[in-house]
Amino acid sequence: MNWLPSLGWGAWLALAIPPVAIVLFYFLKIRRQTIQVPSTILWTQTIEEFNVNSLWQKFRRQWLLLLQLLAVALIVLASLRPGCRGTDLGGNRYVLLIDHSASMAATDVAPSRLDRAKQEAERIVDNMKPGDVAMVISFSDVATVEQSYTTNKTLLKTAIRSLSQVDRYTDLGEALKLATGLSNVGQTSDRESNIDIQVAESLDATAFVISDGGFPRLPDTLLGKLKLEYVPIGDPQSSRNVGIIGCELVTAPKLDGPIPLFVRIGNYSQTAEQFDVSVEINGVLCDAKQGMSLEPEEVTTVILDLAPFVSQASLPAIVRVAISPGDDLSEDNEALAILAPVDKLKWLIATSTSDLFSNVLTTSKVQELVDVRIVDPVWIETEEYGQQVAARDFDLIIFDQCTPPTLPDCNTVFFDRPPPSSQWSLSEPKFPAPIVVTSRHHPLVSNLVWDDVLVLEARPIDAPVGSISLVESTFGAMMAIGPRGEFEDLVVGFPLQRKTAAGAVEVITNWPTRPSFPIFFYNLMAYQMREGSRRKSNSIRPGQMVRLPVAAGAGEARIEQPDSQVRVVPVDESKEIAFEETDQLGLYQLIDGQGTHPAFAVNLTRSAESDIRPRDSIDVSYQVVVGSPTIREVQLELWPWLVALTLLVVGIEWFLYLRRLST
Amino acid sequence: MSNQLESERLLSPELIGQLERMELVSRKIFRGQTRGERRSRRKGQSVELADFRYYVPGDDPRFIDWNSYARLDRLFLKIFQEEEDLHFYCLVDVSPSMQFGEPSKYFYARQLAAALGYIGLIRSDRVKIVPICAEVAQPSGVVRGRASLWRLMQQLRTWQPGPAISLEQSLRSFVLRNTSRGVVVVLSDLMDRGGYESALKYLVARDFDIFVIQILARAEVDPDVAGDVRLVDCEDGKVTDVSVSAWLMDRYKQSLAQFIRKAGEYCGRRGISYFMTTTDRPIEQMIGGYLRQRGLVR
Repeated sequence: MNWLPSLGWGAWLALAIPPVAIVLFYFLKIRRQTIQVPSTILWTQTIEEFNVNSLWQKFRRQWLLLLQLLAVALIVLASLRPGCRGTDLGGNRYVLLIDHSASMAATDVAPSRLDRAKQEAERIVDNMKPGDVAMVISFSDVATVEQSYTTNKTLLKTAIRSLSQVDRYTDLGEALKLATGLSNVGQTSDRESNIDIQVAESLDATAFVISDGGFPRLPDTLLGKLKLEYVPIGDPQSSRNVGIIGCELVTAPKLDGPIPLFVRIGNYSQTAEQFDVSVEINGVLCDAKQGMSLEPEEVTTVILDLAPFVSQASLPAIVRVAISPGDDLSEDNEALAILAPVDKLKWLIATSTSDLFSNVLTTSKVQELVDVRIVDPVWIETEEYGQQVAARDFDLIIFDQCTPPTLPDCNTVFFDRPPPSSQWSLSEPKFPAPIVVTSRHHPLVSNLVWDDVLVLEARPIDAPVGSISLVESTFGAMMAIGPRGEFEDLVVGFPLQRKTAAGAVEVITNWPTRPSFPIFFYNLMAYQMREGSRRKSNSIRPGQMVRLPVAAGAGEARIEQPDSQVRVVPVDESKEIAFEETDQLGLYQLIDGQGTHPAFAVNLTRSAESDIRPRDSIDVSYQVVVGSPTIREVQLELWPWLVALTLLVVGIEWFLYLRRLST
Repeated sequence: MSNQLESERLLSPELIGQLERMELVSRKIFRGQTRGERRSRRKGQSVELADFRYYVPGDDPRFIDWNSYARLDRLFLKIFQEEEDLHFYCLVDVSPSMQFGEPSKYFYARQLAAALGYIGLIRSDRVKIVPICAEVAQPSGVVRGRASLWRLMQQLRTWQPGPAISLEQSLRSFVLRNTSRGVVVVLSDLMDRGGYESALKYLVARDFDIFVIQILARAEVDPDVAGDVRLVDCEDGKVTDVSVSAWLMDRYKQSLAQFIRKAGEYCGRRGISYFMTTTDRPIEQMIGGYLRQRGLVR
């Protein structure tokens, strides 16, 4: 018990007056009514007996006085603001956002971070006051309402205990969308049904983010009436993890060259770590690097050539990369890749200036990777073109100063023409100076040097929303790439050459004579191969949906998951299956009419998940929420109870007074 | 309520009809000064035969029963019931405290006095209504016979109580002025600060046949007061401050019950008949029922 006196001496003096006044007024009996009676003999006798009675009888007589004095004493006591130590969660509506992503499997706190998070959540539930409501939302890169708003602590604890670990990335945004929905009228917290249920009034709520904080900043999230509290999970001093944050296998159509395996490894411990890297192909140890060392926060790339260990007959091969010894997070100590033959790319170039393209695309190296067919623009108007496009015979079509009737089902490159779509348009030609590569991170323009490129005229490109401007000049984009479903369209706002009506060749740019020209086509080829390889989906992230081609004629296909469970998936019209139950890390195999073969691998390779160092704070909606103890010790004020007790005493005193009057 | 109106109702025709058949009863033998219509416990010369006894020499030969001598050959003397008059004193408390109640104790006491006096008058008793506990300008005298009824009523109507005096002083004055023994009925609330015990001793010492009727108002038996009140005694002006509660009210009633019980015990030990009544008891019921049962009238 402690006291918070908040009154000055004047107030205390004023408080001292009422008890004295009560006693004086009581005994002075100012309001005593005078009644004439025949005789006071009996009354005198009665009072005399009363007076000679015990002290207790005297007290009985003064009940009203005692009650009045007690009421004043309680008010004085309440003015002292007595309080005691207690716990408080700081509200009455709570949302428990529990992170169960891959990083929560770390064992730096025993038994695991998820178990510790559950303990913290249960502790919050235990400290809820009667009448408080709470809900439980679990999140990784998706969020699930485990328990809607309830006052039932048993239900809340059951929902918390039933949470299980998932090997997915972390994204708090989804969970916050759910939680903020509860702070806005008209939104439902139940994602299972489509009915918009008014589950709660638009009231303030406190969201406890119980996580290690390993997720990106969320600057644009609207919190509404949601107040965030961050409960950090994990031991920043002892957590140690070395993880594979990238694993890429570069394959070529022919296996006569090196098959590089790029493995990116990061150290997210507080101290330097030593580890070994081993590579297995189809279960056979092929290569290893021992005694590697990384400083804290250091990232390194290990490049291994798998060519000596792979033959055409062994394809497709399963490549397993592992690092040892173990650490707090085992999920990122292993990565899988599928080594499969890559088909040659098929390009169609519709141009009237075929020399410029043939110079860079007819080299022997290119021909190993790409089948290039150069046609006159007139050919794209033929029926044969339509048939081949419908059969998806081309991976890429370059339209040089020509436009097809409709966009083909493949990637396209347009020179000096907009794609036949209302979303694209080109303006009148202008002289562009200077020319700047604006998106150097994009693979198509990486390593391009445009300083020596001169373009006499270019048409500014008006690209659709979502497009990326790759090269710009003062008037706008000169080269832009935009998505179109599963394909992309690249538009270059100027021609390489232009033929006049008289047949003369008009040079518009010197780009074909500069080193950046072949580099651009190499980038285009590499970009296409990487995207193609990606479409084969031999390595995806957890939870990502994958589309797989299956053998013709099959009505359904089966996918064997890493835990050996088999899922049956129907084949859609495009002779592909869409599979989205990719929560487990490991190898997924496709079982179709042609047998069983590796389909894709799910790897955790993400630095944000491997970086298991618990964050001190999280950044949401431009607010830095610092991790704090969940349950605060607070001064529990007792004065409201004292005031209530005072009212009760006054009520009793009034009741007794009326009873005395009525008798 | 005016005294005029009250006096008109002192005796209702119904009550008078009831009183015509009653007479006062004395438990003691008193020698009347004149022969009355009351059968005395003494044997005398009335027409009513009381008993026979053997004749002894010296007896008046006029009372020998010659019929019995003829039959039995022995002399028997006839003994006749003596009829005599009775001194009946009715002491009415006229102190200010008797003015309370509805009807007032004073009115009730005068009703009783009038009724008992009427009984006495029609039986040719010597009736005297005496005001006590206050000085009265017109003291009453002894009246006798039915024809004196109007004088009795006139006395009861015209009393003008003066300053209050104590009960003891009143009764002492009474016994000094009235030496003839007889029946004494004291009509009072007995609420005298000096106590009633010492006052009644004067009557006991003179061997009166004493009846004490304590008259209380309903408001005294069951007071209608509540809260913090200041009680002022109407006689001596003494002030008593009380905070009335249910508990205190119980204590008051206990005190009253104890007062009545003590008065009854005191009177009983000294041969005094004691009654307590409240003013809400009908006078007819009081006379015809209560006092008849207790032996004051028959």
